Amino acid sequence: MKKQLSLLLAAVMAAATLMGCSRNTSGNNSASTAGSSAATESTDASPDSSSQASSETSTATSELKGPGNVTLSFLGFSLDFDPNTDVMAGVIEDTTGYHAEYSMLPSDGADEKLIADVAGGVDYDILKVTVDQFQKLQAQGALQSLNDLLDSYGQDIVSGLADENMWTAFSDDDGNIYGIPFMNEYPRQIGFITCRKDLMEAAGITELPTTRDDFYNCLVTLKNYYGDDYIILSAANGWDAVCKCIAASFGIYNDWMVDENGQVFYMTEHENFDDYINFMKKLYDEGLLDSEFAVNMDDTVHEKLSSGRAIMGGSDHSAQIAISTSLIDNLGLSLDEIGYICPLEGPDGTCTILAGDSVNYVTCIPKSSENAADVINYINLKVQNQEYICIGEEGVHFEFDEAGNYIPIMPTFTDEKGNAWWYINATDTETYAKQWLARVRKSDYQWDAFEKTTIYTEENHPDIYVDNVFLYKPATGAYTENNTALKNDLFNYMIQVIVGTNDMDNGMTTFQNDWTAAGGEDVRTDLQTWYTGYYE
Amino acid sequence: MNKRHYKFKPDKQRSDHSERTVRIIAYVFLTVLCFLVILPCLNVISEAVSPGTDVLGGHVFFWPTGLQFENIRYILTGTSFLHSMFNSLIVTIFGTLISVLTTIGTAYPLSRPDFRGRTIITFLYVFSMIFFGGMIPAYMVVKTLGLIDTYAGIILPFAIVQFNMFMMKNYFEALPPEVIESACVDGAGDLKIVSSIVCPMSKPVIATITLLYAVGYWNNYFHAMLYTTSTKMQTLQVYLKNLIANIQDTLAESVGSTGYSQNLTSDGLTASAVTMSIIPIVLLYPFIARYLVSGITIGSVKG
Repeated sequence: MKKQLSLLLAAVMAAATLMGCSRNTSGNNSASTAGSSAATESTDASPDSSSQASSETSTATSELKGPGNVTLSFLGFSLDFDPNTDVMAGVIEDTTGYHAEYSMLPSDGADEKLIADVAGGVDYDILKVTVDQFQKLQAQGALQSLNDLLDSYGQDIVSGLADENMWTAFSDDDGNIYGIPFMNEYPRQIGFITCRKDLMEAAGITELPTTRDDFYNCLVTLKNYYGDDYIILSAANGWDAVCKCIAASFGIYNDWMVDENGQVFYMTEHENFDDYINFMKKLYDEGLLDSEFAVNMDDTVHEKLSSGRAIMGGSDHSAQIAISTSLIDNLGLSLDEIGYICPLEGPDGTCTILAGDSVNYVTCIPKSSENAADVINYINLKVQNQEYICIGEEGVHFEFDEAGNYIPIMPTFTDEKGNAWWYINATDTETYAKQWLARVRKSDYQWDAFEKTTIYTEENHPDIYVDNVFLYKPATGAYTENNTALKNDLFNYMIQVIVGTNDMDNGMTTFQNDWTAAGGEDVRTDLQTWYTGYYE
Repeated sequence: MNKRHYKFKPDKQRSDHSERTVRIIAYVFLTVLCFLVILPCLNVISEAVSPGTDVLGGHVFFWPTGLQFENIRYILTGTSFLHSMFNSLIVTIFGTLISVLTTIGTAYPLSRPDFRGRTIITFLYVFSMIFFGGMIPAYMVVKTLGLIDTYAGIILPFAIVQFNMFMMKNYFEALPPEVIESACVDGAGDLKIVSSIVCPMSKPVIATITLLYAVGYWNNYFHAMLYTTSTKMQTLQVYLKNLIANIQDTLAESVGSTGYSQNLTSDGLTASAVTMSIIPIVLLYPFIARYLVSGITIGSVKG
């Protein structure tokens, strides 16, 4: 009995082990070989081998297997839906002929997961990642060069990117391209300050302020009228829409800027930086700025606006849907009683704002993929059918108004195209900017805010936009390594000074020392060298 | 006697008085503590079922301001909540079963003084408890074994938690050796001894270990996230984390869709998902609570 039991147990365990080890996870016929080769290749994914890898992989153009002959494995960012069962999966398969299996990175720990997947050789063909994640993968030499593939199969991808210089941002020093950018749909969209015009009018303010001085006077009037009944101006810590709208009037628009002589300088070195911080500090000290400014997140500010606790607060067109809905349904306001303050002007007319962050996501192909040619062909086919994939069919999902604008037909548009943007890897940027507006028009509240801020500014004050001169900088050097940490330190320092836990005069010396120790000067040198070489 | 009795009476009265005072303080303290635990739960449940405008306006506290079930309906039908719950139940049930069996199977031989190699094997367990190979090597082992994106990938790497194994080993070592020796004399083999003598005598520690494993599998986020790639393998914890992080985007994109309603708010949806996710644990808790309390000290003192 004992022997029989032992034999049975041993047999079960052996069978279980064999089943576990022979598991085919990708559903692809070549999965087992791909997996082993990927595991081998992952040992090459080190900084030391990156240069060697880039030159080797650029010639390793895989053969096109063609639609229907290969299943592509697609890894994208986290969103609350199942990309494999969404109607868009079928639309894309019908349009391109390619079957794709979709996976998502988690919302938390995405970087760790991505690095583990790529280093572990998981058989992905397409990675749609953030710029930061792309830079990490490129630095590790984990990506395939795309030059030959784009030449052979990606003509529409290349021609669709209106700004040809963008390719340099996703290339190495030898010109090997590793990423395809999915550009910001509408680079000139801006953040703004939402305000309750009903409360403002009750306090005797009939015009929305457009200059810094008017804005300050408006806040003082509200404070005098309402006292502590309301938060006069709510803002999130760091560098939110409120901070940007105010800093615009001081000529400050980014952490790194360039003067008229081509010299790169940091925000703290801007001639008006002290004035900007002092102005914010004055708002805080006088009780005009939210006392919880130091700990507010964007969502907290939106909540304070929605609940009617704040008269003014930072917002954007997307967040405005929930804010306006609450103000109208809950507090009985009309849409006309919700106002939007755009970036403010200084006394001398100064107003500068950075033209939007221009890259939403980057698509790249890991070295372990054996279907690189088909990936590029697949993306190219999606660009060719951009209108149908992204916003659908005329008369079914959208219609044109008299001015030729795309107007969504609801609810079909949202039901069937709501998640389309998750599947997009590249776009014809000029046509997509027009098509994307159909998504903004889904909600009257969203469109109202967008029209009165972004479109208004674009049409009436196009000169306030400052292009991001570092947009084309490749993901190399001290800037890539250190700038995120430097930026966090800067925002923390600004908050400390504004709320009074740090002193502007003495604190600046300490900040400068810390900044230099954290690689600030290295980043400056890196940016200056690149800027000088690229533009001059 | 009377005098002595009289003499001690004030002390007893004082003692009763101070005992009553302590008891009142304890009751007040524990009542406050209970409220501290219950009120957030009430708030979450209230937000789940209150009208969206009230939730958005910050008017919902500890009691619903109305009743609507659109958030719950959306979570059940518009997201992968049920599938994630199913995955979590599978992982928890089978994972706990496998873990308890392997832990008993490891702890018993290591608890026997006559087991050869006992010291070195115990050392290896202690060593691996202190030193970990790292995330990427562990990932590559799981990947090489073909376990990525499988239930086995979320279960097998954690089949034995060393701490639990040592707790069980200590308990086994504390059992009277005479019982096992007499079973040996009667001709019982190791399997018979474990199944018929050791396990029945170790019900408290087995219950505790089962509970610890079950809670561990149920709450496991990081490894479930790391070792799965597809949404169909997503466990409840991964689902919840993703839902909370992306809910604003999801709502913004779903404006005007067929299932969209003014009652759908980010807080309401989050509260609904959280409320429903705790239902299995809440249902199970009355049956396992006593093991939670007794389990902490089990095996810590060798008899």
